[in-house]
Amino acid sequence: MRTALHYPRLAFTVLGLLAGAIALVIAVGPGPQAAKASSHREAPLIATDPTADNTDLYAFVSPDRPDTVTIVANYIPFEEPAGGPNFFNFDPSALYTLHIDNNGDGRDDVAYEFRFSTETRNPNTFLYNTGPIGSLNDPNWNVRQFYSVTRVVGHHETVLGSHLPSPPNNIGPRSTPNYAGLASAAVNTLGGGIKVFAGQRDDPFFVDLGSIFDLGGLRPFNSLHLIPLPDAPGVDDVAGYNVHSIVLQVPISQLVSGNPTIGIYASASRPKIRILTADGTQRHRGPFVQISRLGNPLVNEVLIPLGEKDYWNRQDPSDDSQFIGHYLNPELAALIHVLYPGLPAPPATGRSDLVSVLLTGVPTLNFTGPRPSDELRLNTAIPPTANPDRLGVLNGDFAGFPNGRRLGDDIVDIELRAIACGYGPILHQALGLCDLQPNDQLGDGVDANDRPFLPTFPYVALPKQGYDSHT
Amino acid sequence: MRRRLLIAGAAAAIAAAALSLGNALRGGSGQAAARSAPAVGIRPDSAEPTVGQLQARLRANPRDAHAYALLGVAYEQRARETGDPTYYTKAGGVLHRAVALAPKDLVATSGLGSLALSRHRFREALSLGRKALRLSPTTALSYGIVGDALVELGRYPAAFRAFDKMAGLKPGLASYSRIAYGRELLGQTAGAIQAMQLAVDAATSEREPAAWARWQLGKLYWSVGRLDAAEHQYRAALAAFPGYVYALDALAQLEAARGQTAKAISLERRAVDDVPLPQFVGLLGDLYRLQGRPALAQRQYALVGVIQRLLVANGVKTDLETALFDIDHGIRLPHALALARRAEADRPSIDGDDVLAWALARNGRCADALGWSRKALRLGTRDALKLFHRGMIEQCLGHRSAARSYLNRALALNPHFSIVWSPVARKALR
Repeated sequence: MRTALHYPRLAFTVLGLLAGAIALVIAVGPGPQAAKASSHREAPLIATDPTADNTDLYAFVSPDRPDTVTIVANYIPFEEPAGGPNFFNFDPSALYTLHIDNNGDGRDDVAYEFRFSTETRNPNTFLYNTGPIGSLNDPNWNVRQFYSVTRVVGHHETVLGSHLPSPPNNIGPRSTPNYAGLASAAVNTLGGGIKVFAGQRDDPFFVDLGSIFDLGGLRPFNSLHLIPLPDAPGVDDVAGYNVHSIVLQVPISQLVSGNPTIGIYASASRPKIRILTADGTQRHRGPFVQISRLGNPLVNEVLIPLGEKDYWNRQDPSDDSQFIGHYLNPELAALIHVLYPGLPAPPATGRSDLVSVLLTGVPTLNFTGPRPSDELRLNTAIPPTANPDRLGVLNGDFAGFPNGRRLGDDIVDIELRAIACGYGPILHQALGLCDLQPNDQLGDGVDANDRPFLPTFPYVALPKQGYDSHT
Repeated sequence: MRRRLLIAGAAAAIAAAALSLGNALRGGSGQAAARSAPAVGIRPDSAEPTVGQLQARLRANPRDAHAYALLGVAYEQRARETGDPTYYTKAGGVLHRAVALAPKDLVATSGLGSLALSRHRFREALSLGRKALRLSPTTALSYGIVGDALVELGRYPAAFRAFDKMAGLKPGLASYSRIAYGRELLGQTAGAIQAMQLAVDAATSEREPAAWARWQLGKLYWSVGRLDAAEHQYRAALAAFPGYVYALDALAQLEAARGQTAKAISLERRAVDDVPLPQFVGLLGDLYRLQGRPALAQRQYALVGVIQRLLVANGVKTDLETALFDIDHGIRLPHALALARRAEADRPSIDGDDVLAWALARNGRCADALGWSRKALRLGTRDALKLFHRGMIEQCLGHRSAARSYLNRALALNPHFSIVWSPVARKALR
């Protein structure tokens, strides 16, 4: 099994090491695990917690249904396709939520809540399936997941769908002979023109982890590194792994209110419990506590210091002004200069450009007002382009990151250039953003996902199959 | 195989005699095995590659405090994976270097805290956990370190506050399992089972954590005699993680309870072969004895002593475990009592109190034992072994009805709580 498996949150690792703040033993390091070598009760302390690990969030105007927005939230990083007998599912006790803020105050105006349940057909076997799975209700499929979707507007909750089926994991030609058919049967159409899918998919993220983990290396820029090596093309270390995606498609009219720009974030929450309540009784489930959130990619990983990560994850974006110093003065900016002494040093303080891109939106593009809140901002009035540019707005493609985020947007290169003050000539001329050269050419050399995305819902590629995952 | 060799290799560090004993029992040559070790093993979730990466990173920059901290935690993980306590020594070395380079490093501080827990140095763990909380008062993990240490120091109200705080900051496997433990200590088994079920859910999609949570849930069912429910969880653990040693050991106890001694031995041997933890080896000895094979039993008991010495050589305090083992097996009882006293002073938890009570009773000092047994049961924990100890102490003092009451309670909770002592409890009631 590959090393990367031990780094639960790949996004995390990406610039993390570069930042020297890769810390995360707490989130990164070796897995969770109970101790074996001593006899007092040692419960796991370090939890990688993949079912609550929101790896990536995407939001874009649907290319084939431009009156709708599609939101993709991915969980469970580094699913090994051949990972049996352990198959992957969402946490049936957790609450997964997609939040939409349509008036720039950092608070939910519309939220979609997903709750999962696991059903075992035959409790006398632990097998995932006892024969080929020909359909979503095939009796050979023993461990199935279903979910409900609830829309929350203010205090008003509407159940949009319940007992919706999730597809099985993609196991192999014997267990899941017609996987594409199973997966498309798991696309659920709800009322009001809403489509939803929740289940295993190919991880659309792409990055050269191997090089970045080696002292922040970027292979195409190897010769400029503090410890130079010959330049080389990048290697996608996420290729071949799956994730679990929640994909929601909603008509724009159900999301916006005045300003066509909406702010989006995803979260995972779990019920809080106590040993005993104040009156000495026990409650099975207390209120939900948000344990992870994700708006803009790599913010938690790169900008938020280790000791604040748990706290940051619990906060509501409306309170993000308390973290503004981490955006204004990113540690990573200084480290780029240390690792690449030949590059011009980007300013490491006073980075109002990052505040604008990540916390308030960019004026004339997707500005939502002065309140800083970490949300993925999407101007729904900008139509999708037929030929998306992986560098999005940096290359003049305003339908891409940081205006929302499409599956193919090259987040690593875009954010690396942003932090290194290499926004490129277009944004420099249009908005006066800094454009140091050659910082505006930086990148890890991995420019696209290994598998093509789908032209229609749910867009994310089919998961890689266990049987042929190493061929 | 890998573990076997690591243990054998590690033994060389303490005594040639120990090494030869280990090898005689396990039939391996430490050196050769150590070299071939990395290739062996089915376990994909191993920190081994992480260790290699971090070592490379440190070769490039020997002053990288954070890499030392991460390496320390990776070594701790290796100790857990292999049962080889020499990793504790390695972990301690690099974690101290990390703290020397960066005194405020949170990972190094909490890494030292969890290392102290693994070594049963609970006062040290408490102070490290508190230091970690000063560095970051909002990080859930540090409350886990503090709470774990307080539990072992017998400071339950404070421990439970720490666990509640942890579960409020970050509900998940780590905090749910601690809530479950708190409820179990208070005798609230049904609530403990509910909390552990949440832990099982939170571990969905993970191998080892899922197996661990299932095993714990099974043990809760076992503690109240629900053997079939326990077995279901143990088998679920093995389905998630084939060969999971804790589930093998737990199933061995279960088969022994059903009178299937041969089956139990074969399960326990698989566990011992993979990770020779002293409690596994001790149970294997007990099973051999039950089967009427005293020579084989003695060999296991001797090995327990070797492993305890290995642990001690790597900084682990084993007084409590050694005292209980020796008392249960009639080994040097006065010495075991001295050990138990030392253990209780160091670790004044209900476990420390109970072992001291039992040590006093087995040395014929039942009047002294009674007070310690009362302390051991002060939380209302539904622990059959502690209730049995109390029953035997009451019997020794001639308190017949109290004795019957405690022995009955022990057997009612779980008629099979111990392959050695359940029959004794039943006999005493006749």
